[in-house]
Amino acid sequence: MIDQKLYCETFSRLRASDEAKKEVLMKMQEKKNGKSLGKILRGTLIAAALTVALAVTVNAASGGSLLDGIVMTIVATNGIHQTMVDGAGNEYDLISIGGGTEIRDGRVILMALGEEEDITDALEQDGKFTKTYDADGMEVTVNVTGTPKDHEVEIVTPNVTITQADPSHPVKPLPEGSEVGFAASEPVGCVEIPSSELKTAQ
Amino acid sequence: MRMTEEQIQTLIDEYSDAIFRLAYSYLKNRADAEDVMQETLLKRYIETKAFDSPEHERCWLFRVAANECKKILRSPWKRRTGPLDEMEDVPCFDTPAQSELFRQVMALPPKYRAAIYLHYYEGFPVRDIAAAMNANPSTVQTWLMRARGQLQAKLKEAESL
Repeated sequence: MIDQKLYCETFSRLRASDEAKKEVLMKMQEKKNGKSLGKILRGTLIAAALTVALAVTVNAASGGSLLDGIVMTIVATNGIHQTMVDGAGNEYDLISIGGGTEIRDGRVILMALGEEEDITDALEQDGKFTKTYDADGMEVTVNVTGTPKDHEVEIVTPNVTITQADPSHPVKPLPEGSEVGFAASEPVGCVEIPSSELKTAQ
Repeated sequence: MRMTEEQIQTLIDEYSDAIFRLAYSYLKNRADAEDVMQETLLKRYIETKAFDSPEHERCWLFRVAANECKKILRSPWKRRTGPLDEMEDVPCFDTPAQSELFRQVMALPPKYRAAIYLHYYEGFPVRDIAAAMNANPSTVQTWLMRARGQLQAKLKEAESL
């Protein structure tokens, strides 16, 4: 048997550094006091048109800003490219990465960039599945980790990482005319899109 | 609803070391363990769902931390790096017994180390360890049994030297 008292005394010596604790406190405060976006959406921002709850992390090359309270309307779709316009009339070219998993007849189907693949066996055997796609010259990697019943989907591009929050709701591109709400004050370079903030124009 | 300053501080005070210990148990690397601690607490900060109880929240935090650790262990970078990167900043211990126990525990496989930490330090029952580590309870039982056996043998061996 393990001497529990000795184990606890020994491992109580392991402590995170004060610097790491201060750093995480600062990161939370930055999130709390997040500034509005404004600057970031110049040029091309890669994002996703989503129908479900997603957390989107934008590693903004600009040094980061936020999408805060912005609602953009999809005005045109050309393949995986979508043109969105915000309330001020600014136009943005986005690449729409439809992706995620769906359970069909007990099988896990991965959908990304219009392709579908049965990944059940890979998840059962390896607990993970990874595939890289070419999205008009941009490398998009989809990582699925976990089991067929409980897994997480991560879509990684050079600028954006999307985590599918709820595997039972696959990520699909929205049609033209849809409104995409970018909400929540998040810290530099981090955007969160709760499902409650996403709405589709009627 | 966003946390207040006080709630944020309480979250850090209550969980940063515990998550760090679990992560260190998995990863044997201070920098990676601190990254996991920060990532986990940030995920908790942005999590909007309400927890049924403090225990529910605690289990959620350890589950997120365990998943983060597994991600790091699976990453190509981690797989390429060798033992030279590990066991940095090993704490100073009061007694040779503590030092030896630490050395031998850290020589066990990562999942054994994590299960032992959750069981012996955090007091998790097998069911909760299984939930945190995304494993079957019977598998966790086996891990704990094997870990105890290996540890006992190694400590005896070290004692006899």
